Amino acid sequence: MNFEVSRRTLMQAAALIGLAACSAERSTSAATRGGASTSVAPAGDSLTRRLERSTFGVTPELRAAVDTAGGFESWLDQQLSDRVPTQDHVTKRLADVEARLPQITGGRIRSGPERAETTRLCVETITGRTVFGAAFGPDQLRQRVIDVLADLLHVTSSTQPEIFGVCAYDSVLRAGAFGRFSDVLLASARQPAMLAFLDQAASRADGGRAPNENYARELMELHTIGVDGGYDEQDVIELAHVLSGWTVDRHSNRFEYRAEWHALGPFRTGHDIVGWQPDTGEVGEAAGISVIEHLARHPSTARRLAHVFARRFISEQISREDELVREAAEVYTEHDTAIGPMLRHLLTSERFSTSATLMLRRPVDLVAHAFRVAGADAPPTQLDSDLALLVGVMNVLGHVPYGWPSPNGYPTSSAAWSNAGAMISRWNAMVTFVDPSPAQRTGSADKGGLQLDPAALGAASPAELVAALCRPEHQVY
Amino acid sequence: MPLLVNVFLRGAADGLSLLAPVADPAYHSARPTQALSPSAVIDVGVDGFGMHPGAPRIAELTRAGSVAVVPAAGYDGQTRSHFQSQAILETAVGDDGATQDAGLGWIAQLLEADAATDAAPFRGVAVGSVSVPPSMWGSSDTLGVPDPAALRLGTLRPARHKRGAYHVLDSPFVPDRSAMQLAWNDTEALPEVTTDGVSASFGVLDRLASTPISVDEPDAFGAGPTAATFAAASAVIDAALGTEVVQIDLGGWDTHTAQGTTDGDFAALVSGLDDGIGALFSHHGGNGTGLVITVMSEFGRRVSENASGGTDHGRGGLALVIGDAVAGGVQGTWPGLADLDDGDVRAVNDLRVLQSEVALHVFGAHIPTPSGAASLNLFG
Repeated sequence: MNFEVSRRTLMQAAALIGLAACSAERSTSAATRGGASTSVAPAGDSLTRRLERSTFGVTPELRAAVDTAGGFESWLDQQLSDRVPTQDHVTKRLADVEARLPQITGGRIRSGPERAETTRLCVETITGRTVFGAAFGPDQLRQRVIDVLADLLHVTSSTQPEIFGVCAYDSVLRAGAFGRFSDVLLASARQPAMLAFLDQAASRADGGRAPNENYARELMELHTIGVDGGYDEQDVIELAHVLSGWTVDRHSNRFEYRAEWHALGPFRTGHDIVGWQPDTGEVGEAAGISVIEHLARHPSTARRLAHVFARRFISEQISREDELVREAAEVYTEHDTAIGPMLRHLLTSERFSTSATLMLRRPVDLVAHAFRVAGADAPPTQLDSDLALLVGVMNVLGHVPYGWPSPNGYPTSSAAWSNAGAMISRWNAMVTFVDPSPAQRTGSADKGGLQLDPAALGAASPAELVAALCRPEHQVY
Repeated sequence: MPLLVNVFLRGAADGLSLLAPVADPAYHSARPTQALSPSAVIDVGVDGFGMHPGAPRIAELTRAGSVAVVPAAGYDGQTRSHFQSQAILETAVGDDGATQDAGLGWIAQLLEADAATDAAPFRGVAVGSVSVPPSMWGSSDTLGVPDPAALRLGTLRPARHKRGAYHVLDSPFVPDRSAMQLAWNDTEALPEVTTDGVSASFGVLDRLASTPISVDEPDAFGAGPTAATFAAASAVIDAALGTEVVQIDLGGWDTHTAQGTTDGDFAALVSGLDDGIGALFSHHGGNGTGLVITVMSEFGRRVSENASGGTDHGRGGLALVIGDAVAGGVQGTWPGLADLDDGDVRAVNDLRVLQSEVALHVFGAHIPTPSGAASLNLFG
C-alpha cells in the first residue's frame, strides 16, 4: 500500500458515511435504563426464534433444509462444519477490482480520478459481497459471524489506503469465521488494511524512536482483553515495541516483518504484558506472534469474546457476568480459542430458544432480510447500477459495510439505531426497493434489478408489501 | 432564544497544534519535526502561544475577545482510551466507574433541567449521524439527522448534482402512517428505545409535513468534507424548529501519522473546522443573538512526537467556548510542559465544569460537576 497517501484525507466514500466518527457505543446498562423490554414472549415458535437469530431471515427453503438435516442442531452442525459453500455474488467484479489494486497501492497511478474510481469500486464490491452474501448465501451462520467479527476486528472502508485492502481483509474474516480466534486475530494483524488503519505499518522503534502505539492499544482494548482487562499504559508502550517492525511491503503490498525497525525497548525488568514475557530466543517477529497468541488466550479475552457473541445472538442486554457468558468463555478456552464450539454452546442453550428480548435489526440485516424474504430468488444481475443504489441506500441508513470510521466498529445496541431520523430512513429504504418506477423518475433507461417482488409476503399491492416490511415483525427480531 | 452548538472533535485533537506554546523551548525539543514555528502561528494576544495558521477565523474571534480558550482540558484521572474518555466526558458525571451506568449525556441533562418545550425531538439535534452521540444519551428530546432534507417519507434516488448524494422523492408506495403506527403500538417486547424512536419519527414527519428543511449548498461552509455537516447544522437552525442544542461531530483527529504542521492532516482538519465555525458564527452569532459554540475533544495528544510523523494518545487537550458574552482569553490554568503526567499535558481544567458553566449561562440549567473541580469562570 502507498502510505504516502494522506490517510485521513477523507475520500468521497468517507464523506458519505453519515455517522459520527468514533462514537462510543451506548453501554448495556444505559440501554437497559432507557430500553427495558416488556416480558411478553415474542411471536413465533422456538425453532423460528432460533433460526431468525442464526440467519438473516427464515424462508421456506431454510425450513426445508433444517428438516432435511434432521432438526435445528443437526442443521447447526452442518453450518459450523465449514462445508457449506460460500457464494460470492460479486466474484467476477471482485477479481476485476483486485486486478487494479496493485497498481494503485504500489503508487504507480497518481491520477486522482482513477483513485476515486477505484475507491468507488471497492466500496461497492464490499457492500455487495456483505449484503448479497447475507441475503443469498447458503452459509447463513458464517455470514452472521462475519457480521460480528467485522465490528470486533474492525478496519474502516472510509479512508485510503485502508479501503483498497478491505475486500482482502473481509476474505480473511470469512475464512476464519469458525476457526480459532487466535488464528483470525493473527491474520488480521498481518493484513495491510489493519496495519494501515491503526498505523502499525508506519511504526518503528529502532534508534530509540518512539513506536506508534495505536495498534498496540486497540489490540488490547478492542480486539482482545478489553479496557478493564488488566493492562496499563506501560503495557501499551511495551506492546508497541514488541510489534515494531510489523509493516507492509510497498512493492508486493503484503505483510512484511522489517527487522531493522524492530527494538524491544525498555521492557521493565521482571515485568510482563498481562502475563506475557519474551522467552529466551523469542525475539523479533516471533515475539509479536507469541504475544498476540497470548492475548487471544487470556481469560479476559475469553470472557469478552463470549460476551460480544452473546450480545449479538442472545440479547444485547446480557451481562458479562451472566452464567451463560461464563460457560461460553470456558468452552472458548477449552477449545483453544475456537469460535465454533463457543457459538454452538450459545446457540444450543435454553436461553437462545426462549429469549424474549427483541432487538432492532441493524440496517445491513434489515436490507438483507428484506431481499431474503421478499426479494427475487437470485441476486441482481445488473450489478453496476444495483450496487450503486445499494451503497447509496446503505449510506442513508448509516451502515455501509466496514464504513464506521473509528476502530470500535458499528454499535450493536438497538439504542444506536432507533433514532427517529434512522427509523424514517429504514422505511424509505423499503419504499426504495419496492418502488417499480425509478427509471421514469430519473429519466434513466436502466431500471436496475434491485427490486423486491411486489407480490411477496402475500401482498396484494406494492404499497401493501412496503407496509408489511415496515412493520415490527420485519424490523426487529 | 438560547442556542448552543457543540462541536466534538472525535479521535483526540492535538491541542498543542491548535494553540501552540511556541515560546516554550520544551515544545520544540519534544517535537523536532512537528512543532509550529513562532513565525508560522497567528498572534491571538495570548502570551507565549499562537494559533494554528489554518484557523484565521477562530483567531480573529479570539483577538476580538469572543473566545474563551481552555488549555489542559480533560478530567481528573484522564485515561488515554478514546471510548472510555468520550463516555466519561460526554456524560458529565464522575470518573468513579458509575459513569457508564448513569449514561445520561450532559446535553441530555441540560435539556431535562431546562424548561420543557413542545419542540421535542428537535430540542437537541445531532447532525451528520443516524444515532445521537453520548452527550445526548438518555433524552428522548433529541434527534440524529444524517441529512435534514431526508426527514420525509419517500423513495431514495440519486441526486444529479453530486455523486453519492440522495434525494427523497414522493412515492405512491409510502406506507400508511396510521396503520404502521397501530402495528408498532400493538407489538410487545420491543426495545423501549425503538418504540420511542418510532413515536418520535411520527412527530418529526408531522412537524415537517408542510415545510421540509432545505439545506443550502455547502460552499459557504468551506471546501472540505466537513462543509456539508456545518451546512446541515445551519439549515436546522434556520428551520426554527425550537432547536436549543446542535451537536456536530467531526472525525479524523486521531493523528498517529502524517500529522504535519502548517500542512498535512492536522492542518486540513483545522481548516475545515475554522471554515465551518467562522460561517456558523457569522450566520447565526454575534449582535446579542446568544449563540454559544463549544469545541472539545476526548483528550489531547502526547507532548513528544512519535517516530511515524504523528503523535500518540495523551491527556490534557484544548477546548474553546465561543460567544459574545464569554470571558475572552485563556481560562483555567496552564500547567506548562515542565511538569508532565507520564509525558502528557496534565488535564487540570475539567471539561465537565466547562459543560456545567455553559449549561448555566446559556440555559440557566444546573448540571452537576465533580466535587472539588475548580471553576473556569468562562462567562466572567
